[in-house]
Amino acid sequence: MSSNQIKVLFFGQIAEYTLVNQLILNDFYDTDAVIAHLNFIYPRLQDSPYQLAVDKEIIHENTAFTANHILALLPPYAGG
Amino acid sequence: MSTDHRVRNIFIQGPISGAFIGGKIAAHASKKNIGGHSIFLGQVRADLKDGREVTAIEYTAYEEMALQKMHQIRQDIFAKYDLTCMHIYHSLGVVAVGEISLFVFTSSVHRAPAIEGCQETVERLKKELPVWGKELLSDQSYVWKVNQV
Repeated sequence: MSSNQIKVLFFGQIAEYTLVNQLILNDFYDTDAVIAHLNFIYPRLQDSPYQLAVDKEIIHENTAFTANHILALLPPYAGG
Repeated sequence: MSTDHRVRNIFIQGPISGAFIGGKIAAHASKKNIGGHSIFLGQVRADLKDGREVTAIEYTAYEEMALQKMHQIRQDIFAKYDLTCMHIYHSLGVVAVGEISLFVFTSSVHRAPAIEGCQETVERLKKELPVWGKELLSDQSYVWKVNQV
């Protein structure tokens, strides 16, 4: 499996927990693996509601990373 | 139906002024086929949160995704309603109570598409745009706003 790079973006109240707006992770091959890693380094994430988007599209199940991708953790929306 | 496929910026730093809104309305005077406009203005409300009053909302967004999503919504609304044009503006940064943070403006030959298209656009963007609001409170604390779904 070739090397990849995943940019993880945090927003709103999620970014408050993480204290950073983004992370770069190397060699993660699906969203479940990234979330397990994030839950380990940011335990409060497990109690936080959010949706996931891969390359700006909402996903609802584990999604494979075939190359470099952007994963965003999106807390509940409040626009308008 | 619109044939304009550009992804347009909708974000404005700070509140949306009455002068800006008035200017956008006036700019349509030259479009002689329009018979009706519908406008929704979202205003920051002084809600009470555990006895503390909201004084402003600070908006942030995942801008690239929000603009892509807004483009999809725009395409869907134009496909469903016979609109002449549609303009959307949303604030980023701090908007004080009483100021406008959302401006949705639809126009059509007759009134029904403008009214219905405007309402559906507002409902969809509140559910689908990755925008967040920190409600700043009178005691200098804050809470995160969550839209009713």
